[in-house]
Amino acid sequence: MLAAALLAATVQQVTLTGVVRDSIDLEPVAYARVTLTAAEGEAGVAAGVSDRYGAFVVPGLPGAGSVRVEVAAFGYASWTRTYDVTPTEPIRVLLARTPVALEGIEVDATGRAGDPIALSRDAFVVDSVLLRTLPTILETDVLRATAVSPSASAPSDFTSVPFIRGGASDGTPVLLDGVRLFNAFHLGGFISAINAEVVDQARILPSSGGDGMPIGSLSGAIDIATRDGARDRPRVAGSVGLASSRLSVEGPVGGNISYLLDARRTYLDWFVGALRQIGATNEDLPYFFQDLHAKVTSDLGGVRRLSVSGYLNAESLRVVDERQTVTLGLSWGNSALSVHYRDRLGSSGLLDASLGHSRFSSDLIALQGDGARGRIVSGRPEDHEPPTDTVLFGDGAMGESRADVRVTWHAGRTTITAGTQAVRFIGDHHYDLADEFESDDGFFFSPLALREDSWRLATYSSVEVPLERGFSSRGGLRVDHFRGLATTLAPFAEVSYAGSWWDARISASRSHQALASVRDEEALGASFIAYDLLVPVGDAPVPRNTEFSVGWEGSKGDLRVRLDAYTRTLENLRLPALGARPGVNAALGDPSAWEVSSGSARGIEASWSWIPGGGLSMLGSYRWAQVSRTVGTRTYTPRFHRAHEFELGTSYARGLSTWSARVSLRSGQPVTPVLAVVPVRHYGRRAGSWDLPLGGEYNSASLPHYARMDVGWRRESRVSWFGGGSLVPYVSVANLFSLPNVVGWFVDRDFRSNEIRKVYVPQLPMIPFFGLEFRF
Amino acid sequence: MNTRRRWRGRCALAAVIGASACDGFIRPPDPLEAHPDVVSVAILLVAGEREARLLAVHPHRPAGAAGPHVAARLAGPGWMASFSETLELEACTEDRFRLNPATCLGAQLPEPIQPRTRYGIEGTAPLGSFSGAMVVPAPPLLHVSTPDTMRLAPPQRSTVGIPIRYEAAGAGVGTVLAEALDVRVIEDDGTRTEHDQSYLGFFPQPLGGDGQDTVHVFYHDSQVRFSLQIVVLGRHYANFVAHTGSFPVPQPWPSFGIEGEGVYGYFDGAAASPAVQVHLTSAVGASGLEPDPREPRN
Repeated sequence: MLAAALLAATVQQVTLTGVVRDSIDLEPVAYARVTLTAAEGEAGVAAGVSDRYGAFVVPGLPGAGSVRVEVAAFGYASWTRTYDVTPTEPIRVLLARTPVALEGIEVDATGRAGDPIALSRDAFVVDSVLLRTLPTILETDVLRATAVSPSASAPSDFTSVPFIRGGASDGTPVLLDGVRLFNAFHLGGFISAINAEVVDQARILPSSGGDGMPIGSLSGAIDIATRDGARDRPRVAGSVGLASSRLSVEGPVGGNISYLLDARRTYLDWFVGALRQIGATNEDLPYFFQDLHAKVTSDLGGVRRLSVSGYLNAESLRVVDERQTVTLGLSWGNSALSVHYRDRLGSSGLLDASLGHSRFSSDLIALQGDGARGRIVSGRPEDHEPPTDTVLFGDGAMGESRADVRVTWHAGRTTITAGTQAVRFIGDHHYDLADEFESDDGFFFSPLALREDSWRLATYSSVEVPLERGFSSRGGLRVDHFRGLATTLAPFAEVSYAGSWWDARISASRSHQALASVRDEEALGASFIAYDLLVPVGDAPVPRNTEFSVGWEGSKGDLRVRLDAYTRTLENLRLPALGARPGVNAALGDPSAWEVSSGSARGIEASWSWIPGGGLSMLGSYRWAQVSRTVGTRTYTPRFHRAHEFELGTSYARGLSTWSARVSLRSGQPVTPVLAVVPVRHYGRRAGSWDLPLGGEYNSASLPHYARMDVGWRRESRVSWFGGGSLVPYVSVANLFSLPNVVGWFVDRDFRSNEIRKVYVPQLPMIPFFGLEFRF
Repeated sequence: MNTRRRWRGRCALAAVIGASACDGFIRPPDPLEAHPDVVSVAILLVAGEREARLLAVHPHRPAGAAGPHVAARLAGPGWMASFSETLELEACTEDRFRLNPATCLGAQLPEPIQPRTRYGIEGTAPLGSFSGAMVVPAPPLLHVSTPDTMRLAPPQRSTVGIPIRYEAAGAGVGTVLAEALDVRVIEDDGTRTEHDQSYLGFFPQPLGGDGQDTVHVFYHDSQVRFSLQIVVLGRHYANFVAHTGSFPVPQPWPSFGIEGEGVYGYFDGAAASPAVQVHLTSAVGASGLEPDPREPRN
């Protein structure tokens, strides 16, 4: 009888689905909160949150009686409608942007920045507006912006990709519209390869549980989603910066299709080349990068949609001698393609299917000899000294193809997610150097030859069930089959409590991945280049991450605070042995010599946002952590780790101008102390002595503390050109006070005074940047 | 007036910021805070010699300071010998350390240093005691591939190679070197002129250690006689000299044969092969030598 009643009640329940969009450009609005109440009273019936495509599904609504639907999103005016009967077809919610700039952002152009802490329980979310509230380094950069998360730590000023919770970059994929983008940066890692104009949001997923489960990586992910493109009218946006320019074009095609096309290129090579042509300089800067991104989205009605996103970039360094012989040729680039299809599955389900492919390729040749060094003997062509040897050469590629199908099903208050995926990775790298190659102990590079591919088949499922008295639970399991290696299980469990103004959670999760890196993070060169070549792990055991975390989050008035504590164990890593002098190892080594290793990380993270209105906002974080690696019998703190990190970003808007500042205070990176610097005479040699610096325990001391302040200013001006738009000139200064931060040091003996000195390897000095952004 | 005052303030702020930026552009070097009483010790026992020498240096003290006070005893098979003699620095090192305060100590031994024999050392230095042990490697054997008189065709480049075979096996061997001694040029009239080994190139030359190698010498359009021998040194020495540079070698260090409080260095042995006389002539049509395709290494 009871069962029959329950069945009848279930049958009578209906589900409300819909899509939340911006009322101007009709782009989807993510993280909008949808609340349904009975029209006669204020009692809440059900609630849901829109996903990254703006879609929401709220099941378990009574089939009879009127309901009021209220949709609220940060930066938008609340939207309310009353329906006599709960609609069974998807509804369309158009949110109007709030007409005042509370946070220092010109809202009529781009909306307000979301609170990165509040938007997602699993992720720190940097949206397109928050991106611009941070002082610009060279140009607006999505990857640098992610470092404001307490879980993210920049290994140096020269690399924009942060490391997540003690993991290295190989464990944290950068995803662009669902597909892994290898080496998603330019200039050695200094600047992101993803055009900020097209970024809708970047999610920093610090954990392998929750939203991180479908990714299946060791150290979370940086998940970047691009915008769809305006659906109201054609729009043009871009920027002219110090080193490059960006341009994006977007608009509708017919009633249901939108497109977004954007491109960027540096022009320092052209500029210096032009100066050289007119004799203004003898210098040459034969470097450039460029990237191109296109996305087409078709709205198929309701929550149904199809999008295709393509990405292409190239980077090149090409040095020629006076006879135009290429003496150093470096070229590399990325391509990625993803297709995503979404459909409604029954009344309460969503189906997401995606295909993706990405590829990174590189090519290298370096000649050596007087000509290769660019020495001009007399300036006469007949005195040209040709290069004598090829000393560095090789090429390589790595690619990933993946197919994912995921179903999200809402049954009453329970949400079930299930998915399956297949991923194929190919690593094909061949690099070598000749005996004649001379460098500082192979600072960046060592020979490498491998061609391996791997298959990964996975299925996963998770269930979220609300419990009594404010408690709820999530649990899931991911099963991976790594072809030729192992089949692994990765469970996830979480219990959470939601109070009136705070909530708390405790969770445990496990993850695996069968990719390793050629990078040696202990090499000093690793602080200057972020490039990585990934290779499949050839033999069991599969690298594994096991983590536990406890979190608390609360908000009072305009202040929101989030605290997290975590502990992680990394097993079966593939890492290089330290060797006698780790600092001079090649940053990109040969993974065939890597050993099965382990690591651990534990930390406490605090982040807070304060958005009181009146044009002032603050976002801050503090993180303490301990990180270790164990290779063989040696356990050490990795060189990229800092025990304490404090970040504070603030912006203040007054009139049309927005001022921003970002303060970073960090403890020094670990370094090996020196006990003695001993002069060494080689047997039988009559002259010359060398120093042998004998150190203490590896990385047991610290470099000087790190402090830096970046400031920025931007001013939005409305113009009537091209039908109306805005111009935003910006100026920023990185490291305003030129605080002399360092990334390492080495010893040097002054042979005049016999004084032994610590010579520091500097980080970023003060550098001003400026540019102009426009949007029409 | 208010506007002018505001701009003055902004300009002053910009000047302060600019000045601070220029001052601290790059962090200047800091002096290394190393203990001034640290002593580095180098002891190399050469097979066949009846004297042992110990070079002690204060590496962190300024030039002109006094050399370190070190007391040490060498333990051989059934005997002990003290480093009781203070020698001229030249007895320990051919080229005095230019800056470091150093002391050269000598010990007379009751018997020549024996190859394949274990020796120990113990002593005290300003910061504490030290001790160590090592086994003197076995002397290598050298075979020159050609007769002891070599006739050279004029090479196209400035060096020629002398192919050699040698036996320098043994677990304790860390470095194999070729040494040129007693270099003499024989003029056409028969007079002999002695030269430094640098006349022939950069010696001692490191060899690969696999039993076959080529010794490279400068080509001179004259007859040259010299003695060629192979020297092997132990692993302690090899470990010590292998990691010179600017970046510290973290602990645990490779074995240097000596350990102690505030004492760093090596204790090792060396053994040389019997010398082989080499006679280089410039007559055309010679056999046994080939022009060296490589340029000399600087």
